[in-house]
Amino acid sequence: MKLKKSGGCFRNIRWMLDLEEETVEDFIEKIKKSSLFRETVSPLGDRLLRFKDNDGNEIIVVPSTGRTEIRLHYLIPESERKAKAEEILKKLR
Amino acid sequence: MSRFCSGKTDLMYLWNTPVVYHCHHFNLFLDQTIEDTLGPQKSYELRSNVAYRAWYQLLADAISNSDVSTPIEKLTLAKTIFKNMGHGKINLFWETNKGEAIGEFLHYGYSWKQKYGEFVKRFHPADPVAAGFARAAIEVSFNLPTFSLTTDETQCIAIDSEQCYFTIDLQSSPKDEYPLVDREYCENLEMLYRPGKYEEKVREVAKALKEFTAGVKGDERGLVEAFGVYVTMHLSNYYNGITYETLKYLEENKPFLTKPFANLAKESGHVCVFNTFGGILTSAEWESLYGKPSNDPELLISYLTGIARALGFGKWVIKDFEPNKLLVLRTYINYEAPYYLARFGHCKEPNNFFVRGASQAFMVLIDKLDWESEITLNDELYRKLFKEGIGWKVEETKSICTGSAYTEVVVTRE
Repeated sequence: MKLKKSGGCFRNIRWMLDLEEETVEDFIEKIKKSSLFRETVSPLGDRLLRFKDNDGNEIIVVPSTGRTEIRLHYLIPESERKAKAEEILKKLR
Repeated sequence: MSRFCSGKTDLMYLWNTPVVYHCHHFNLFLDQTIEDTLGPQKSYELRSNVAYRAWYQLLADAISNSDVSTPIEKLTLAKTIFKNMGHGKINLFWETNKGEAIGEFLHYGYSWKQKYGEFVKRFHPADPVAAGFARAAIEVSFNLPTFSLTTDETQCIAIDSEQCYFTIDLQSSPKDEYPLVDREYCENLEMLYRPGKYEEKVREVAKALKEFTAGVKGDERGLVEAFGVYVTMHLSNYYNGITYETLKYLEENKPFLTKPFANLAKESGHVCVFNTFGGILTSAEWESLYGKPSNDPELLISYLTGIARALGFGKWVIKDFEPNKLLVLRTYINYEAPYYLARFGHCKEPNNFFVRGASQAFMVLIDKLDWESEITLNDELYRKLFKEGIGWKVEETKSICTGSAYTEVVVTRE
């Protein structure tokens, strides 16, 4: 699993997760079992899953395409965002 | 908040006041256009006066349709509306004949700082929309006569203050009592709608996105961060007021500037389509609904037209489309025309600038982007697409404002 900056205008706030060998189904299973993230209500239902940690950072998963994103909480200072995304990645591995 | 999306016109209303969704790139661009045209002081006056009128209409409407009676309850409702619409957080204080407003994360100032703060030094405050809101909210909440207050933005986050600060004084301001359009006016305009190409897909996209945006509101900062942009639900009467009042001023006083101004107003359509429409199409939310976009031009034009309807831009219809060659886009109603008709009546020259620019940008996005690869929407890509030879020309061949039944734009290869 590795991190890739997502193309958005909010500098370093959205990161794409490349799951590499891991299937999206396995990833969803893993994150659902994780105590660090809890599933939250998504306006798009099962089409787009959202998981949140206690600091408000989110993992977004589109099961049909496998797209996976980390969306950091907006109050994290810009200079700390990359490190935070890497920290979350470590926890997800 | 009571949002109403009209199935008949594809216009959107908050209670009875016309609103549309636009992102910070568009908002900053249009405001900058007015500032560059009129100069900082005159443009701030115009923008805050127009904002005041538009906010007053919405707040009076909202309060009369809500169960609030005391000034504090009314003020709280006003602030909540402002925040939920994505304009930021504002605190308002009023005592007898003096007041103040303190804004945090105000959409204009904050997003200006985010977008340009590192590279550009700003010397003028950026929040006339919030200034107009503060005046309107105090007047409505405390039952003061209209045009009885003035505001002054003495501190602004865009010019390096920690927060935005406004003084509010009991002092009559100039009365601009021209009519503003409302839901009744827009919905009763004669509209000879005929479905266009790919109508089923256009409707489907519009419906899905309207459902998705129904739950969107400001976060704890009062900002809506979605699709890689800061989104606002904004007052159509504001956009149209600042655009058409400036146009009128130029026609009467500086006619040589009319054409360059019209071109910039058209460019606001490029800015919007590139950032908001592009942001929607490349988002995880979109991917969950329709999958990753392909390079199928017919699907892309249906998506783009459906998105326009979902954002409250009006009854946009694909009259004709030939990939790589031609787009004929009709709007049987759009959010620009009703204001102009109500305020000025018919005119000689077509003037639905936003529709023009957006349609041209549709063809640019379809033609020049590889939707099957990773797309990063940034200033560099914008410049490449729109500043280094667009490759497409656009003509507004018919306009509701000149008396036609619809506005029609034709986009062809340059």
